[in-house]
Amino acid sequence: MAKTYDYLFKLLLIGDSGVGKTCLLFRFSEDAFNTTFISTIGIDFKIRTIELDGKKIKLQIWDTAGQERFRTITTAYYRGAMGIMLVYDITNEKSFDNIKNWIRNIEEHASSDVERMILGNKCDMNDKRQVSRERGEKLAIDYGIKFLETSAKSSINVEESFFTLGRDIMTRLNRKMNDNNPPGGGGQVKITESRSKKNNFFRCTLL
Amino acid sequence: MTDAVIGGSSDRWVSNGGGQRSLHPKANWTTQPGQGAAPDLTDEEKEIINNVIARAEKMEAMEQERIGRLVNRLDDMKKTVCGDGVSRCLLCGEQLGSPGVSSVVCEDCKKHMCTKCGTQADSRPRSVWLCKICKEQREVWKRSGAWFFKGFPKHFLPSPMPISKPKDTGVPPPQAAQAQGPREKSAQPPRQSPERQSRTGGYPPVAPKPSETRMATGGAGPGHAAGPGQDSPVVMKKALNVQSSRPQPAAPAAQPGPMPGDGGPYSSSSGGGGSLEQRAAPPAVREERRQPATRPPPPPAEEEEDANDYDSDEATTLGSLEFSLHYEQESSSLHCSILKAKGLKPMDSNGLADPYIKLHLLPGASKSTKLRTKTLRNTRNPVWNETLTYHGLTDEDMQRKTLRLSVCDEDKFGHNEFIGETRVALKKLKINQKKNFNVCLERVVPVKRTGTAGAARGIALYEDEPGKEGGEVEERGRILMSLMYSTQQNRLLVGVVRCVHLAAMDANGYSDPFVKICLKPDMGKKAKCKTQIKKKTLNPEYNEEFGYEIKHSDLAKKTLDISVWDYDMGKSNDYIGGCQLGITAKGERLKHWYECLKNKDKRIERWHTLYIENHINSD
Repeated sequence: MAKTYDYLFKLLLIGDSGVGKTCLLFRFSEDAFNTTFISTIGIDFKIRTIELDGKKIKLQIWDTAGQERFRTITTAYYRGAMGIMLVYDITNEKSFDNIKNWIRNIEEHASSDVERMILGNKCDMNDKRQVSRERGEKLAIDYGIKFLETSAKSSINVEESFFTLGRDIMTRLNRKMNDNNPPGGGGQVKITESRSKKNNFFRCTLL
Repeated sequence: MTDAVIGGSSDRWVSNGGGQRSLHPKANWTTQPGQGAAPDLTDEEKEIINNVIARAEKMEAMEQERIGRLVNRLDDMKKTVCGDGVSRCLLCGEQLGSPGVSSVVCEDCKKHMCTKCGTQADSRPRSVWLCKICKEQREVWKRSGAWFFKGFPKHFLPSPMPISKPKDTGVPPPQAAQAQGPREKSAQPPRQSPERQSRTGGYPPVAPKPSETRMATGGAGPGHAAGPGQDSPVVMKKALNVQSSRPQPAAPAAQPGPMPGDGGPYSSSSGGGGSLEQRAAPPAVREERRQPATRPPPPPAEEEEDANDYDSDEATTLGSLEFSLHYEQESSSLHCSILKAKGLKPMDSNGLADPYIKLHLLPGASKSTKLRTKTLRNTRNPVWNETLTYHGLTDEDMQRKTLRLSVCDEDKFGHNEFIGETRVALKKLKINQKKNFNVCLERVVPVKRTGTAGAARGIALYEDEPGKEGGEVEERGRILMSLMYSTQQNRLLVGVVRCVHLAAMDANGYSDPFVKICLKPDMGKKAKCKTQIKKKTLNPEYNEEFGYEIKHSDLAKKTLDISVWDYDMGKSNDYIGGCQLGITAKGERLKHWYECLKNKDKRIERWHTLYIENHINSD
């Protein structure tokens, strides 16, 4: 019936309307691109199974509508996400500015363990660029989040970004499940290591 | 979220994203999800969203099944424990301390075991020993997602949205529903479905127990604080939609005063694990539970009489189907417009069905001619209004073939059930004339083998039609090609449009077909072209065009060799079939070539039959 896989990772794409979330997902899941803009209604998801470290990982990637009027619905999906892609459009300053708010939204609604990543999409349109790569990097460093510029249209860094996020989740998984308390502690597996958001700030970024 | 206020400070929130509204600086970003569901969405939008949710639920159900299996396996392992974990190896029971048997302590459960039964896991900050069971336990946590959600991930999909008025809002009062029109009602009953219970409420709540009791002790994370309490300590609140009321009572019942034995990890789990097994062992068990559970306590507005006796008998009619067929000779296509069905036999325990329609052309292999409609959820009166088209049907096919329309019920776990079918001999259709049908569905028309379970469930792949079957064997499929000689470019433009009914070459019943064309002879390297590979299909659409630079006068001497292949990674590709167009060809193939030569700058499309012996004489 269903293909077997080792892990199921649930990812979520968020960002302003029109930044290219659906296109990124479409590129990643079907390796295709469509220039017509069809605004996502509420939510949608696609599946792709990837392999990392010899493990088959089924990615269930939720695509959300960027439009405000769907916000109630889309935020309901934050909770279940293990990884979240924050997408902005490098040709749209506003969408970049709003990343802050999307991050705040994550902090409010998503699990504190969620892995995050910022993507500056449409990097093929350099002539219309409004947000420099450096500013993207700077923002990412400020939040301690990894960052990549992508182009769904030209298929730049799309695979890389999803694989990176997948790998980060995988790393977290292994750390959580294989970490043991220092000797002297209970010696139990620490399932709920008492991490705080600070953890994120000190994680290295891919810059 | 309803507050799309345009405030003075909202300036930076005015997105330039087209139709987006201006946003109030903060309010929007802090709205709680799940409240006042679905503000100003149209019914159409809600329906689209609900479809996505339904799709996700289906996946979720499969995932739950998978987790159930993992947990079962773990429980099975726990049953094999032989020793006490103190003086004897926990797993094999060997006396510890005796010569040659060195003892180690499991990091997780602190029991003793021999080195043979343990594995050394290298984890930070030091490498540790784990007994097989704890190792498996960790594995289950990883695989199930429990590592992330701090408990088995339950079901945190938001529930579907009510169309126009609340019906299945999942959020607080489910009773409010019921009173809507038939459509609404159809979406409501699932909450009584036992499948759902066992899925959403069933194993997950029970499952976390073993691990929680054990793994939480030291960790004491926020999630676990609630652990020993009732069933859903950590797991997403949102998950508990309407269903939640039912499983709850079940969980405690299935789990009487925890665990025989000492409360150690292994014994402790057997309580939870055991009950979990009962639920998790999927279809069979569900089948049984269906009986008692089906009659929901208040079956309020369900005026359908026999909602629950799905197994009753065949006396109930299967339902009727409305559709129309239209054969367009010009394009060699048969358009099958599936309109609707009425009064379908209820297949699900909720007295409804999730019907879809499959089409097949008989005789023939089923997968190459299978077309299907969407699945419509929770209805016995589905309205599809979908048109499915067979391309490349010849007049001969129209004389010989029969269209079978089968109505099936899609099951959450993939065991789709056959409801009924009807057949239309295509020769009854008049060419280029639409014909409407409104027929009663029948059980499988009894042909020899149809008594078997397989056939009854609608998966009979071949149909016996003795006498005719013989000629069918060699059928490899058909291809639609276009040819045009462009005088401007001095080029022959060869288009590979699509193939239909290709022979299946792979074990999965499909092929990964691509088309190679080659203009012969003496065209050198540029003679060969091939299309993209289309994965897992017997009816690929290519729409690719290739050009050969050639003088018109030379063209007559050439032959265009067309072959269709099944791409196999790592192996040599399988030949599906082929044909040749040229002056030496015959019949349709000659005609096509000839017309192309004669009518310059005119694109001519023709269907060709593929043969395994692609030789000119086979006509």
